[in-house]
Amino acid sequence: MKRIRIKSRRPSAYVSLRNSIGKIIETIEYFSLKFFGVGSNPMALTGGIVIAFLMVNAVTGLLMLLFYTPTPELALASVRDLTVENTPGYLLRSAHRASAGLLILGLLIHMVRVWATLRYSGARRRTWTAGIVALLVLGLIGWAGYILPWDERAMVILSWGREIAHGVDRWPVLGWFNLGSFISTPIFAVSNEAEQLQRIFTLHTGGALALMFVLFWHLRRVTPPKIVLPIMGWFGLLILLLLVGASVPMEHEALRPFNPFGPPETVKVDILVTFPLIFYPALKGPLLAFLIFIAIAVLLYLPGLEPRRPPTAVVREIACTGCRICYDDCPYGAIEMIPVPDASHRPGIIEIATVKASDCNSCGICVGSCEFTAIELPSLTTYDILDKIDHITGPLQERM
Amino acid sequence: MTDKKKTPDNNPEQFGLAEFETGSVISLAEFEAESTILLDEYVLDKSSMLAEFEAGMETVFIDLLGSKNDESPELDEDEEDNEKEPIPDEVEDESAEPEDEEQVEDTDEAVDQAEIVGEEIIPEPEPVELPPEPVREPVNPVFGFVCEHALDISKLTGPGGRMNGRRMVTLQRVPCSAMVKPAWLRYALDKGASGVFIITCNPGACHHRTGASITEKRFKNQQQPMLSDDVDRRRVQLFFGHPAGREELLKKLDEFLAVIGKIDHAESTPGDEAEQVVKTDMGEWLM
Repeated sequence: MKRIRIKSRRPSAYVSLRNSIGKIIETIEYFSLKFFGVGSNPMALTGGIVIAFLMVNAVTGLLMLLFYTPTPELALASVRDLTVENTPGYLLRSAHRASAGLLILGLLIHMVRVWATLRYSGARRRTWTAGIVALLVLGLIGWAGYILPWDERAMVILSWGREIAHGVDRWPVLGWFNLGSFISTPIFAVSNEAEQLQRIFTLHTGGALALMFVLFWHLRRVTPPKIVLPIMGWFGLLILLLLVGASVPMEHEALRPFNPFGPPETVKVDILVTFPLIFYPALKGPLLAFLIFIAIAVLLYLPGLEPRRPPTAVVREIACTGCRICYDDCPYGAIEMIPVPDASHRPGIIEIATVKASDCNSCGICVGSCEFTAIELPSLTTYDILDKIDHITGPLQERM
Repeated sequence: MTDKKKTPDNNPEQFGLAEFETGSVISLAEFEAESTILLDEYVLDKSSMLAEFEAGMETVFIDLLGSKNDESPELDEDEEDNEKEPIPDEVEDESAEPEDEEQVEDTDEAVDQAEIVGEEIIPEPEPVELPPEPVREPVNPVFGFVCEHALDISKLTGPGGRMNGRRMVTLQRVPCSAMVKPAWLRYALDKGASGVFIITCNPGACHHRTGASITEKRFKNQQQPMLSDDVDRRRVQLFFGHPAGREELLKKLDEFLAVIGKIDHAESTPGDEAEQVVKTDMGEWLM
């Protein structure tokens, strides 16, 4: 007799940690559902909330552009005029800053939820990767944004960025891009403060534009994306912005001119956005660059630790009628409609469905959509289900 | 008993409601002929009356609302005493003290007095406490499709997906509840299953984002493919589950099983009872 030994593998520490955090997230989500209801559950709308804060940032940023002058001589003065002398301007900049902080917070919650509840593996890996890239771009935009006032804090952040860039320049592959020159060394033989500020300004505004493309990549296979919040959600965000803006008022004294001889510890830190400044100057630039690189590499690799997805859905072309219901229902955009290969043999049918295996998450929604058993999951077919029903009701049939 | 009492006529047709109202003694055979006797707003059902017969008591119907009928019976002292004995103290009024009753004679005045006393001393009928209806199991198997993200069934089921503690229920795990074709539900019911259900994620927290809402729309006949109209909807249920709300979900599942059990029992019982259960258990189909 052949013995079959089933190995029971204990979950690794990583899996245990992820499951524990997942249970916490699910419990919060459960009570959030009870309190807010199905349509307004903020835990399910974390992505939409992040997008909403991005929109607030974009609108307030565009309005602030009307008052900002990106030159070393006038940058700080224009920001001071906007903030100190002008109440609407103060509110505008306060909303810009508060929404940036809440954006980072929402992004962290979004990432943790997606990771802990396993919504990032399988075909969703590309969406996860796009999200990590979006996080990087967002970090760059935030870094550049805190330099724009060209005050003392801006100089600290800028010098730290230079250290990071020079650290990266020593690395084997990334060093070829010579990132340090972007900030501190001459490009086209011209280098001065004005040029640096101009580049930083371009990075901040152009980065926002680049973020749109990354987000398009991020949401490309998410159909339909939940990026539009309900009306009550917008009211909630407005109240949150007012609360954060009122409880963490902007420090006017933070807008001090740069003093190269001043002690760096006087720099004010915005916890949510410029939190790495807490470690300044103990954490040197190259080490910080290395830590950032490791963090990104780990985040990109995490989906690879998860179990492989089951085989993707398969279409039986002969049975497909081209009704497009599976195409409409697929939440990952993995169904494509293609012309019928042998149109002459199938009158009345113009197109049939096909599955893009790379985008399929094996959820089986398309199977439920099909009335003709034309699309199936190999791991659990219609016949498996019917067999099981027959098995359960078999004794009953005999009894009857 | 006494001569003053009206003895029941053995002909059921002559034994009308008027005689019940004025007070009479009926036999068990006649009583069984009338399953329910209405005395204005009071309903004495068959089971409680039978219980009284079995206890060896005579059932006396007295006009509970004051006996406006002129042909109200005259009650002798012995009978009055017999009726007064079981009356609890808190029901008695001060005007119906036992000392006064001894002085009541068989005159017109005494009859009036008896009527007055009769009005006041008759206790409220005690509410009949029926035993709680037993929870009946479904007669045939119940098949459930469970979204693997809505409920972890690994600890709830034994071999073959049979549910622990609910032996008639078999669960089938699916990657997403929207994978379930409505035709599968119909197939299970056609095969003789007592019921079929789907446990899906909450639409506000669906793992595959749209699976729960698609399932809900299909069941509400808002999206193709739909559940056909000839399916007995009382036997189909959709539950919105959540990993953190397992106990709540199992409680609702037990309620559904109890409803199916009652329907099964009612449909196997001919007569009015079946209709009654069917009417009372229609309820809402969706949560």
